Amino acid sequence: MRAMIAKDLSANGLALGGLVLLTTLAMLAFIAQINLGRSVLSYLGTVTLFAGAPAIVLSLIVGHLFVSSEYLSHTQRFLEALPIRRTSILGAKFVSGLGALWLLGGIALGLGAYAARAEFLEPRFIALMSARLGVWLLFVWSVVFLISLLGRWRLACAAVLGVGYYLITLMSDFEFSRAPPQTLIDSNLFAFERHAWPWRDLGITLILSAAITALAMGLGRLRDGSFAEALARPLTTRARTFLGALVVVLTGVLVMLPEREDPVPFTFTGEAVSETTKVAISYHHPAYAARAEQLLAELTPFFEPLAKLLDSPPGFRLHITLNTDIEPWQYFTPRTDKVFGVDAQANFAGSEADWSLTTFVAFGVHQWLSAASNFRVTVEQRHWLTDGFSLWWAYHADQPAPPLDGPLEARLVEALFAVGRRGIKGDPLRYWDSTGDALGDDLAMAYGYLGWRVLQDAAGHDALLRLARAEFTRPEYGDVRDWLADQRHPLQDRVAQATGLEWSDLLARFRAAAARLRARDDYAQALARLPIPRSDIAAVDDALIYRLEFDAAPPPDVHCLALHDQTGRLAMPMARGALQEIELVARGRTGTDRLFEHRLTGEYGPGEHVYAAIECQFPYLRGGAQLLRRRVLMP
Amino acid sequence: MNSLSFYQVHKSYSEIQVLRGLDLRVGEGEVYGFLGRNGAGKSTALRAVMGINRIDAGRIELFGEPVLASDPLPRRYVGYVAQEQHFYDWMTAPRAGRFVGSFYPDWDAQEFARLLARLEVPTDRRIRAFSGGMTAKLALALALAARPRLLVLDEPTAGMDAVARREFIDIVRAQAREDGRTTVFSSHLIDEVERAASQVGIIEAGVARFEGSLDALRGAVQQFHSSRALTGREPSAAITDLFGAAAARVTVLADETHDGTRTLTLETPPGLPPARPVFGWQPVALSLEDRFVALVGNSG
Repeated sequence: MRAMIAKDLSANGLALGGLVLLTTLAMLAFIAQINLGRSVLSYLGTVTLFAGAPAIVLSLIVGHLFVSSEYLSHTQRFLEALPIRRTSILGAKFVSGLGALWLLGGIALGLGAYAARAEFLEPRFIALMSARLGVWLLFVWSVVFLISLLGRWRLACAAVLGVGYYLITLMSDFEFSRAPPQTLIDSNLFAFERHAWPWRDLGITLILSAAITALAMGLGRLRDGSFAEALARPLTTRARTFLGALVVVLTGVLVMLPEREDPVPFTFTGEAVSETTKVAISYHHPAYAARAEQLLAELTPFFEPLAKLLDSPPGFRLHITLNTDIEPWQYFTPRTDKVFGVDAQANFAGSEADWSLTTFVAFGVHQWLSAASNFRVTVEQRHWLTDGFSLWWAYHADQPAPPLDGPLEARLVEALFAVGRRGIKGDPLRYWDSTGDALGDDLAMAYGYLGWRVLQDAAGHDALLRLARAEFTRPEYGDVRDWLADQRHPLQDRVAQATGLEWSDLLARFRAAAARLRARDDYAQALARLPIPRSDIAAVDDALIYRLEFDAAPPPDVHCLALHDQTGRLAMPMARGALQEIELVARGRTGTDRLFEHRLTGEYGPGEHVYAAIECQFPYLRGGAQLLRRRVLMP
Repeated sequence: MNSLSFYQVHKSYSEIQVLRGLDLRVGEGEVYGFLGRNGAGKSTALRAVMGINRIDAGRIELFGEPVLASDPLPRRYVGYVAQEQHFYDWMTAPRAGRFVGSFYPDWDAQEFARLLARLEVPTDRRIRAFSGGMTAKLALALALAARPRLLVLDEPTAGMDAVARREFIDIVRAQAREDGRTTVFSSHLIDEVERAASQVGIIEAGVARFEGSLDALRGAVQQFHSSRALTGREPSAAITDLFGAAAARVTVLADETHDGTRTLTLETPPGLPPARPVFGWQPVALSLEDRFVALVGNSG
């Protein structure tokens, strides 16, 4: 076996060296682009990028080098005459090919992790990413290994698999991206999930890989290996004709496929519409007409100037649909392309105490900017601008904010609280995915909001509006042209052009402002009034245990929730609105308790993945402050 | 003990039956020529010895032990030169030796180097630059350096010119003589077998048609031609004239008349008394090839 592996590596050493060089150069180029501020990826995001199409292409090349070429050149006959089992021959090829692919994956991960060494990389996190990437590559290789044994039919087989994947994605509700093995390289989990081992995904992927590899071994041994050998012979005219027909049929199927119709969820009896505001509000019972008109009036001061600032095209609108089945603090955008603009659902007719206009406006603005840009404004490097601006607009619309050094503002307490939890080391604005994951949606917006306040103080309100207009009205195509535009005009250059502030200067001012404000007595006292408890979430037997420990009994206006939901293989971060709540520290309670614990039993079974979080509402904070979030595997 | 034995070996590919109950025995130290027409099943039989092909029924024994396709160990003691060589063309001969040698317990690197020198195989060129004859010599060197107890050559000279073929066969014969090694080589070229082999097995349509020494083969097929006056007689009458009471053991392989001359080709089993001189019947001097053609000429 060792001699076989050595032979394979020796035979393909040059080509393998080329692939190593190619992978290294590609990764270095990605990293250099990030360093130069010309890429929207994070350092670890480059590893996820590698694990997708590049890894599949590389594995196809490795499959050709290590497996297919053996059969195409008939050298397998030479091997078969040696005193070695056919299984050992195939096994050696599998091992050497997998080793080559792991080597390339290791290079990608190593370079990505080295570049991201400033981003809180713990050994456990590296181990998690290694396991995800390694097992994913094992799966890819097992499929490619099988395909590589199909000789001259391998490309046709790969094409059929690719088209099949596309058709299933298009025509059924099954989403590959939410099922293993693909969840292993989910871009939302790969570079962020730092705690939970995805045992189920790893296990399923390993089982799938083993089954496919066994199938490949069987194919390689079928009829004493003569079947695989026959597949490697030049194609007959009949076979070529068959393949030609297959290409025509597949192309025809792809061209003629009808688009999937999304079901219409509601029928509506009425609508409040303002063309100038570009807001439409639908409701399904006349009793809600007055509330809809009221909401329209409340939204007008925000969305009318926004539409003007961004010069939104005719017909583009925020379409709000009343959904009384959800809580007032829950908003979401259904996946549909039937509305030109934003299609949002909200329960604006629910309890007023639970309805926050500011939070809804921030949500609406965020969705507006996203929809208008083909979601380009949510790529990592631009995301802080979008988050921060959304909250800015919900607070100030097109009016200037007071100077940072003015009287205490509750909204800045929230921002400073977020700064305290995330820190200001490194470049937290640029690496927004990890900032957002650490803080949760509400606090991340507050963190970004402080960035806009710093911008306004440094460059003025006009510059701030200029930046917003420039950044949110860029032509976005959803294809390579966006990438090319980013290469020509990196975000840092665009910020500098609109505001006159260099990126390093902005960061320095951000850090200085955060430090200065936190040092101010009034803010320090306000922050000190936030009784931040020690928190923990653990799974013991069949129970999920939430624990909060305050230094002293918390004031009555502190209200904490234990949040949970089964994550399965859903992408992270979980939508806040999707989480179930348990009151951990009741609102308005009295008493001297400082230790709060809740055991959630019987909700989740062994082996289930649970997303669990603790969120508290403190004075000064607009929304819930996420204190702790964990992805837990139930024992 | 036989070095190699086939017992009622059957093998088919899909609907095509290639071996239909092959029985052969190769004694220790013999140089065994395995003859047969193209497609007779020679390569299939030898590939089965190497475990490359699985047999459907019957048994093959190497040195008294059954050969199992799943067990490659017996192959460590068999040197094999295939009909077509499919070496890694990026290797040099020494590199190929190092690779192949790692699979054999008795690999003799010095012997391999000596063989390369003796066979004049270049050691500094990649195999892709080798001629067909040179590649076959390398294959022979690789097979011999493993110090095998049995050397199996499957039409090793296919594609060689006459000079190279003769040179190759002479080397095989010399090696067999020097080492006393059992050697089995298949061929459809009679002169090769005649030049090197002491024993011959002829396979026809998947079954053994003849097995024995070269002399036995020479005695197994006899031919007589007659004068014009006898052309009308039945073959049985003529055979009785020639062999008397033993005529019943004689098989007529061919009975042909050309230009008024009648020719009888007869298969005569071992132990048959010599043909009696009969007026009008003249024995014909046959080459080994004539005899081979007479035995298998009607098959396929």
